[in-house]
Amino acid sequence: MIPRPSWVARARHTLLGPAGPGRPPRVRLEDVRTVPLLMLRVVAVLLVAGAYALLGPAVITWFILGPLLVSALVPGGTWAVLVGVTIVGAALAAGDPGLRPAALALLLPAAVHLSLLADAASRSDLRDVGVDVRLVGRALRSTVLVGCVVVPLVALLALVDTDLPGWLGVLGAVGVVGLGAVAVRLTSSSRAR
Amino acid sequence: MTVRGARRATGAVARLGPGLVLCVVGLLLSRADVVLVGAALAGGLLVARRDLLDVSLAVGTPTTRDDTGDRRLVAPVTLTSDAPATVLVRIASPGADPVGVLVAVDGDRTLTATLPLARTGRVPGFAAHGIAWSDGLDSVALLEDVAPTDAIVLPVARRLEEVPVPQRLRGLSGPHGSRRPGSGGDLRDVHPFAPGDRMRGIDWRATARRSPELDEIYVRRTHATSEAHVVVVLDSRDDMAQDIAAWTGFGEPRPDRPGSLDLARSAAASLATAYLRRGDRVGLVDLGRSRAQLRPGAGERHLRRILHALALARPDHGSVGRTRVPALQAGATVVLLSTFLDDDAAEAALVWLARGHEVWAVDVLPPVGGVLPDGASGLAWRVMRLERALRLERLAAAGITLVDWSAPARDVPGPTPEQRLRMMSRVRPGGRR
Repeated sequence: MIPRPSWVARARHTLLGPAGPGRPPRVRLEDVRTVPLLMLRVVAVLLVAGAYALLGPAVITWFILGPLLVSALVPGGTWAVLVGVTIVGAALAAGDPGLRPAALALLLPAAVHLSLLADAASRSDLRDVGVDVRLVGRALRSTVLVGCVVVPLVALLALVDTDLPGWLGVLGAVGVVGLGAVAVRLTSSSRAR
Repeated sequence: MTVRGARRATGAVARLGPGLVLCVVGLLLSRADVVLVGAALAGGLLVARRDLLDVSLAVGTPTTRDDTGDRRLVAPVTLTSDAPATVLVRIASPGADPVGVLVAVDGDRTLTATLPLARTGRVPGFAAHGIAWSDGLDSVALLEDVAPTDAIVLPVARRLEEVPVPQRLRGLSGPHGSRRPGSGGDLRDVHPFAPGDRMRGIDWRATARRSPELDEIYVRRTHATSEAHVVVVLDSRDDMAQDIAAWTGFGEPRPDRPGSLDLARSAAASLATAYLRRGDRVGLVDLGRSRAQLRPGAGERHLRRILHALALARPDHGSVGRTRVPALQAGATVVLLSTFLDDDAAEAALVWLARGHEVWAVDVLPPVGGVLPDGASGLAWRVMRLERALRLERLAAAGITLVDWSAPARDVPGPTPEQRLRMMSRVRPGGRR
């Protein structure tokens, strides 16, 4: 009688496929250095969590953000990162963080960009997709470029302590409605060009 | 046109959401720092180039590369884009796990796809599929699929230190001594001078000793030299993979494990190289084709011709095949490479033996593994294996020398092919006919 494999062996077989020499060889791509897809997701989640931790929130709020960030680790988890970023933004608006927005202006865009890259890579049907380190570098470069503009301004605002006029809020709301309409138009069009 | 219709990626547009929300909240609360964080979030997408003009994916002709003791199939994968783009490339090859990489492209980018390879002959290359995104990850398009191109991989000859000299030799010159008198190197006898003897062959010492009066002149006669004619007969009617599931058409054979035809090509190339380098003549007959035949020849050029013919040999199920056992040159030694899974090759070997040829049978069935079938298929496999063993026993009983070429891979106790050939060459001195 052939013994049944243990549940550990079955789970391993399901997750990793046949072990050792029974597994077919893998095509390899040379001349490109890659980082694992999961690492990108983990870094994105850590960036959001780090940004939230910078604001010094109450412990209880981690029970909301924690599960959200865990769900950001699965394929298609960019939505969770975006919601997490919104929560962090709301927490920022609720307090008076001083110079902390400068750090947030670097951490949050990087997290969103990395998460988007991870989602793009997980469009493949393959389990182990690598992400080119040049793409990670490109994400960091765009983050730094935006940061170069935003960070000095945040520092300047912290020093000057300027309040924005109220009519700008109304203008902003109108602008958001307009941009939303444009976004809906763009996403509903079948062809980009 | 390489981009088959770009679409807006909804995920990237949603990326604008938190940025805009923070901008609005910041404006409503008169908080400029919140507005700036929102602007930083949305700015990344607005600054990035959003066009996806022309992205192409191409795979070059595959070749082979020999790393240290490891042969690999290699092909360049070229990605071209007018604007900065992100491309998800998926490279696949039959019998192997595919690989996927998200690559940054701006201009030309060439990657190298590699795969461990133990197979020879016509080997399928790499198929490629791609999805391209614009720099801002907001436009996405499918790239045209690239179908795999076949590569012709020549068999690698194993270095054989010693190969047996066939019992029958032909011709008037060659690397081996024969029993006929002629202008060779080995001394045959000392004989009185006769018409036709060369003056250079006169042995003056023997003449002085045997005929002091110089009544007769003695000459040293030598054995003639001759060459062996070896005809390699390749049974290309089937190509059995190591995984028995692939025999019935389920799954592709693995590229890193040689099949029976790969072992046959390797054996044929090794033997042909050894004999041709020694100065003998080697021919090639394909048992699976009605006309494919290379007459015995010599030299490096002929060796290359044989290697190419071996690489092109493959099962041709549309071919009529041979209805009769092919006639070979008289006195040629036959090296038959087959899996002996049916009677045809064994019957041909017995016919050649009856015609007076010396026949060596090389068994090239690879070690069969994988998930062995059960039930009726398992019974069929066991019966087939027993029939094959009986067939090989019958050949051995008829006087045909057997060489198991895949014995080391099968962990079968016994000599390796090199040891077996060395034993054959020492047990039978060969030549002298």
